[in-house]
Amino acid sequence: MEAKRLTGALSDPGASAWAQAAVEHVALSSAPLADQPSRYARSSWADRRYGLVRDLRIQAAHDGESFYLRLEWSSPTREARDAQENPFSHPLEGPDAFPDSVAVMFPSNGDAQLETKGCEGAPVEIWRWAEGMPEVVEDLLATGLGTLRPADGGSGLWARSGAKGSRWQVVFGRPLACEQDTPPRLAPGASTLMAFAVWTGANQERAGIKSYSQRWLDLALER
Amino acid sequence: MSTQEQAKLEHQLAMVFDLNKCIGCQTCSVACKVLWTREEGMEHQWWATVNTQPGRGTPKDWEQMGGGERGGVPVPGHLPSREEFGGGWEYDLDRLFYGGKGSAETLRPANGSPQWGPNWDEDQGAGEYPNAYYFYLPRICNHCTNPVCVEACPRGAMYKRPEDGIVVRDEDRCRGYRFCMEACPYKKIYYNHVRNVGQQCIFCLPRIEQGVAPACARQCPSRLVFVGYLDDESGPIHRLVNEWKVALPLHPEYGTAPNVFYVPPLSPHRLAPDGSIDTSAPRIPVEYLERLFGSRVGAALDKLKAEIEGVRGGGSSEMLDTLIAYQWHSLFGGFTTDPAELVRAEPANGGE
Ligand code: SF4
Ligand code: SF4
Repeated sequence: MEAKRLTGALSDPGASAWAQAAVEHVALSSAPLADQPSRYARSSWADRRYGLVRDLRIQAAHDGESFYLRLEWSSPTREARDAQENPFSHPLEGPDAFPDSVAVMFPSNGDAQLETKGCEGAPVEIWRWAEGMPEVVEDLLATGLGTLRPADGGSGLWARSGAKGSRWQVVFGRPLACEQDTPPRLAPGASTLMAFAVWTGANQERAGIKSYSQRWLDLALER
Repeated sequence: MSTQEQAKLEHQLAMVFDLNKCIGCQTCSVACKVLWTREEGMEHQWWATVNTQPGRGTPKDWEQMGGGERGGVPVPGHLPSREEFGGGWEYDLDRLFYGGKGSAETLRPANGSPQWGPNWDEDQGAGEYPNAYYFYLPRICNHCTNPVCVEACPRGAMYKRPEDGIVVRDEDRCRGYRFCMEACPYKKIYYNHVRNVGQQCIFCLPRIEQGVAPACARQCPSRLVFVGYLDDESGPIHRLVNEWKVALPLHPEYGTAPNVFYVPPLSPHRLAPDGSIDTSAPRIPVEYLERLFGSRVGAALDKLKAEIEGVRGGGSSEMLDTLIAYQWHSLFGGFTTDPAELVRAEPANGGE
């Protein structure tokens, strides 16, 4: 997909500026049980349905200064909650409560496999948003399953979120030029790959218990 | 944990609780609470709990929550809810004492009306008067030899220390996924929502490293908590567990091989309707104790009774002398340093 050069309040997920950006739907499926790193997760989730979110709506844009990625999906967690409730007031402190969450992953080079979340010498960068008070925005690195750790920093990553009915709307943003030395390189004319994952908190989805896109999606930034 | 990893264990720290001496005073629970779980996010955490048995315990009905292993296969576990833990109540003492309402104001939780707590069914027990019965069961993390919590973590954030078998977690690696909490059949892992990590008993690791017994053991006024290396053949734990076989793990069928053991409770006599002593059956049904401590509990109780009879008949018993613990320090397997005598190092981060 192409991230067009647009103007407008792109950092706002509800902004009308987003109507000018092309829409891509990415099909998600349950992450394979066999890839769960613990015997416990493999056996306890064998009979539990997970990866409930199957469709992620994606838009991308830049304005010459920053890159914006807008993600939207219908959340079974939000469907289950009171529609009148303030989307950001739901208590998540309970020991059995997990947040709705979304992540996008970028490979650093051609050796980084999607299934294994990169490997030694080929890290992947992961941007993650999770609902909550406060909501969580993380810039992470991984070099294989179970290796997630904070990225070096300096990327200037942020996220803004909103909700409409049962749908979450999240915009990730980052300055096009950033000090971080790991990819993705997000500059006008550059291209990269992306993959996605969504966790449904109400279904206790977390870690490898998620829905994910099985293929990389191409992203090119308009000059 | 693979057998290879287990083979690397040099020693295993263990505890024995003699349930015949426990008075349910909760000093152990409070000693632990005061030492370890006073931060925000730890309100409902009680790494040491004491519940009345028979009872539903903490979290409520934890024995029905799954976890552990059967025949080497992990059993799916339930993540306890906030309601099932209960507790973490706050009291507005200012309003009570200085609010000017006099006796119209009573002591009550300021945050709603709790329906459960860490010691909710205290002293209820079971049975009918005059043969009602109950006993107290203190519980901590069992620092299991087969720690299913460690295996369940997709991050490898938990491990068993090779030098002493204490199960610990690297909180920097933990991302609050709580698979450990689900997998632990004893429900002895707690979630800290402020730091988004799981937390549990650390066997008072910093005290152990200074030669000080864990707080629950040292503070127990009834002198019933033994501490030491299970593999120390001259120590009381090895003798009680392996030689005399009177100390048993709780729920051995959960498959985690706990390293906390219990001397099961002897029963007072039953009374017949006419008030005479009925010796035909113990007041605490053996079947109930078998459900908790497995099939060896009858033999352990017989051994205890035989030793007591021997002493009553004028004999002596090394086993009973050990359990009586004439010397307080004999409980602590060499971890006898007085914490008051330690020179306190300033926390590296200035206590922040
Ligand atoms: S009691 Fe639970 S938390 Fe403690 S070591 Fe055993 S399985 Fe792990
Ligand atoms: S401090 Fe000792 S006597 Fe009191 S409840 Fe704990 S184990 Fe029982």
